[in-house]
Amino acid sequence: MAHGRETFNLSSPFTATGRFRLGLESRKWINEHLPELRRKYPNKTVIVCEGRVVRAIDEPVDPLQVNEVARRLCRGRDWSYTYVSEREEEYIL
Amino acid sequence: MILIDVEVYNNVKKLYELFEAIVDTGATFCVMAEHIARKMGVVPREKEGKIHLWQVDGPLVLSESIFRIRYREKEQNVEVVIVSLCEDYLRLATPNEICERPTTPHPLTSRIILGKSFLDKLGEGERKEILVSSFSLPRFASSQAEPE
Repeated sequence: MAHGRETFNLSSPFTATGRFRLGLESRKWINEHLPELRRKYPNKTVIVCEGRVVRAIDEPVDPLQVNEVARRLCRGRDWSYTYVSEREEEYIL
Repeated sequence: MILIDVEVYNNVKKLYELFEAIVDTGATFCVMAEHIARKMGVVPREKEGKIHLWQVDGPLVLSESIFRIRYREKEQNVEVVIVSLCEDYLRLATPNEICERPTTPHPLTSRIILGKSFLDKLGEGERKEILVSSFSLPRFASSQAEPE
């Protein structure tokens, strides 16, 4: 595992040392599609890979479990996850 | 609410784990739930003892620790606090609990909070990108046009 400092370039999904940046495109996709996700997957945890939902889990899940599943399903590809709460923002101070 | 992804080093598995994170500009520290921290081998800094913070209705006394966080290319050691959550808050509310708690599970069930201890380690460009750019979520689903 590389722990060294790497070059910063926001436009590329890869770092200068060739490591894939996790969660860059998929996070953007989640944030852009949240209204649709709320309608289709209310109160589920979804794993998103390359612009589509690859797994929906029926409850909020420990992120470590999500990572295990996602590493298996999305090996070598960009992925991210979110818990799709129906109305969460209303409940945070 | 601003949601981003960061990777946090898991001291038990010896690898980085991806976390969905709430960016909270009003929080001094980053926050992780104790049940997750324990699984990741995050050790509280007992020498310094507990940290005392104010929350809305009273003091909050928490353990401090350090995370190794990777955001984009950069790795940082970041000060965090560990909070113990009631197990019942890790799920949706049941009908007889409504009016006693929010319906949704506690936000730290599946996320971490990134506070000033993380944001201060970023460059100005990265901070601006997080706070101003498309990482910000639409506030409520009903007020947003749906994607094709």
